Amino acid sequence: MKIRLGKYIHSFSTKLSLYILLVVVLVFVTGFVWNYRTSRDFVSNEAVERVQASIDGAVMKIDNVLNSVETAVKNMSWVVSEGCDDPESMYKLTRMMLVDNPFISGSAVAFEPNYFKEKGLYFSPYSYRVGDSIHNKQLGREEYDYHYDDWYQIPKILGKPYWSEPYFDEGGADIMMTTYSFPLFDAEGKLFAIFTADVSLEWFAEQVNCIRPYENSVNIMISRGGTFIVHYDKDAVLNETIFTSYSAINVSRFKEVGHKMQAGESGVATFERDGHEFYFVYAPIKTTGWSVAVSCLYSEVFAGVDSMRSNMFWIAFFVLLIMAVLCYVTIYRLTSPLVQFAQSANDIAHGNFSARLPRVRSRNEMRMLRDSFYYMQRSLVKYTEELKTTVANNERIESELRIAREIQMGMIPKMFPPFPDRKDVDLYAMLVPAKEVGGDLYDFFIENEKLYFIIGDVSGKGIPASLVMAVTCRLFRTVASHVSDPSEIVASLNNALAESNESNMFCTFFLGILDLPSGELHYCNAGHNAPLLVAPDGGVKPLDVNPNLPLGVIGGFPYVAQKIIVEMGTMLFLYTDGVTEAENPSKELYSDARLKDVLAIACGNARDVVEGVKSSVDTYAAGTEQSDDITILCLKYNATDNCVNEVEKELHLVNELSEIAKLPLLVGEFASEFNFSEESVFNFNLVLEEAVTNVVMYAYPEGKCGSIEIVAKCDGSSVTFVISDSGKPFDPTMVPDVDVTLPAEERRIGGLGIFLIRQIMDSVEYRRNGGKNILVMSKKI
Amino acid sequence: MSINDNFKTHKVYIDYSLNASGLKELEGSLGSLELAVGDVVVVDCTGMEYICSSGLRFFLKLYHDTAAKGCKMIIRGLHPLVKSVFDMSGFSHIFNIEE
Repeated sequence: MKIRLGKYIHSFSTKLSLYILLVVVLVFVTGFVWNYRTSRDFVSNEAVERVQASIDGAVMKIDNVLNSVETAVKNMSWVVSEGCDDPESMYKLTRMMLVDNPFISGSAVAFEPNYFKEKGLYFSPYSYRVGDSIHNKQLGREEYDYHYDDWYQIPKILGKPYWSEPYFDEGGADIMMTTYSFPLFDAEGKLFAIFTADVSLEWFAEQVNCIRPYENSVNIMISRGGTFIVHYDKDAVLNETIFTSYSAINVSRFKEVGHKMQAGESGVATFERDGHEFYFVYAPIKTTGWSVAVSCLYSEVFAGVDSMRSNMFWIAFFVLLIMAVLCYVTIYRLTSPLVQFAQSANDIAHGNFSARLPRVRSRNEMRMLRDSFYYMQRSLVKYTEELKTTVANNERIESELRIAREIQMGMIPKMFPPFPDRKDVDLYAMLVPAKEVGGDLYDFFIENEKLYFIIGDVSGKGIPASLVMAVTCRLFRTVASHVSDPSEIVASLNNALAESNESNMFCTFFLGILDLPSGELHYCNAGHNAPLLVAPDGGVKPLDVNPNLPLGVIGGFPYVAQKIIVEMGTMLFLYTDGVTEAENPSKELYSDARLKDVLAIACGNARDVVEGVKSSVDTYAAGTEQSDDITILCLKYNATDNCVNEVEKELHLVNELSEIAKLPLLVGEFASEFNFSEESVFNFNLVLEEAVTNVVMYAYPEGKCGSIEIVAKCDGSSVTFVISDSGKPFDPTMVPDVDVTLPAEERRIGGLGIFLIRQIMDSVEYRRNGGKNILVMSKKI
Repeated sequence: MSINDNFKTHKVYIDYSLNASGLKELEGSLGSLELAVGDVVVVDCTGMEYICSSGLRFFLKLYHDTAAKGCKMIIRGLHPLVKSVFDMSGFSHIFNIEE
């Protein structure tokens, strides 16, 4: 389940749908937010303007009425001054005020104390409304001394008209009101009365409450002192001020707004109360210095916008939902063949080249992919068929090559030792082609006590070279059975090969004919590298050869034969350039010098020598691919006397002086077998003791156990001792000779041992090979 | 060769092969030799059938020691093969060898 879910989440269609949806949502949200903010700002401005307009209307109306009250009072004031002769006429006058001005709820002419002697201290005729009727009464009396009321005192002191702060008129009309007081002065400019007009606060409340921009908007009106004149809570009217209420809202800000209202400013403020935000719009009534304010809840102001926002949200939600579904379905339908393609590719990978491909009807990229897949399937089928044929062909060629190799190997002698009954010659040969078949060759046979041996290298490698090699081998056998002169044999071979040499192949060739009884070697070289002669003492030198020309180059070439006498114990080493030109991983050649070094210390029979050289070449090549055929033929000419056996004995010692006692036994064994003279026995014992003592004393660090190997060989004519140890490198042959002519006083101790060895033996050679010191000492008997 | 009666003649017999092991034996016996100026050391090698280079070195050392003390060293009864070693090393020329 988890895997399936992951598959869907990571699927191409899901991802693409998600990305598209994400972008669309982003665009939607940005537009939505921008639109909402703009609408809100717009609505907000609209609302404020609307409220302000409402307030302005109400304020203007109130101002108009108040102005009319002021005008009425002012116009009537002269009548009052004129009628001062008749105090009673004042009632008529005040009554007229009410009759003429329906907004005035009461009017009084309050005289200074004792203005009319007959009226006493208080005289203030007053008319007021009770329902639709107008009543008169005299306000002033002992319990109501109006002279100390604000509406009387303040204009008297100021000497100019004055709108009083709202108050409850207890002595008069018993209603909440405000009074316009107009001071009256006599001819001398002395104040004699205050003419007043009352306006009921209820009327103001009616006017203010007419302002209703929103269903739940609330209106207030405050006096100059901040007292509520109009308030939605009736108890607050005249009892509270704007600075004492609204304790739940930000008091300092509200007070600030209160002060602005007192100062006659207009404006807008926003507050929060009980989790509701609201606008607070205020404007002054210029006539009285009062201020009207309307507060509207945000929720009401923005009700339209918010409702639009919800609608838009749901519309967007459903549009996006539909789009997401459509998007997913469309993309899924477009990309679903990819899954089938993946399955098909998997099937093809498992070898089912006829795997079913998804059907694509539309001509789009998917169709191109399908066509490519189809083409790939057909190509794969075709190539597989071709590959099968190629593999079959290769197998056939390989099989043929294997057979060719067997045939080629069958043409060269491979039975070793080839002459087991002969002691005078030891021969071993090896041919390792670089490929299945090669162009190297060797051959040998004995006829009439003469050993015929050849080695050759056809130019090139592989099948062409192998054909020439086969021809040369056969020709040699045929010609040699009729001709005994080496130069004639080589010339015949050359003519035969040159005659039909259309492909310009040639063959370097060396022919030797060794007369076994006499050791006389007749040989003829045809461009081959000179064989090496290894003397019994290890000395290696190339055979002196006339290069002539390789076989097959020019017909009729006059080949020159040569002759030497081979000494007993000499080893003849023939090889092709595959040996000396073997490369190591650094592309460096094995070289003639390295071959000579190996041959100089080679011991054992011909087979040991050949295998030793091959192993040395292999070690040097260190796995590098063999680039040329390698052929080696080694011939050891032992002695004319077939009966003489070579005796070889080995002795293993440890590095202790007591081991030296074993040496005479080794020498004794040889002595009895080969009838050594007493002197020879003495000398060989001395030589061995000196050499071994040297190793015991100096080769190994003190206390370290080491081994010393001694190989002693004798073939009746010479004795060879090979002493090897794994100690530190030391070449005793480098020790300078002792000067025997010095007088005793100047003779030094040391160097005598190796000096004696040199004196006794014919050759003393030292090699360091494979981490070993090897000292080879030989002497002819 | 005449030997002054006032001087002592020390005789050393070597009747074994002077190889590495024989040499050890010889060095032991020579420790007791007390030489004075003019003394003669006669080394009788009649029984010595073999000598190696260490043996030769012994003779050279003995020669240096005796010469340092003003003594003479005479070698007698050398086996022919041993003599050939002395010849090879040139020691025949520097030592007094009596037949």
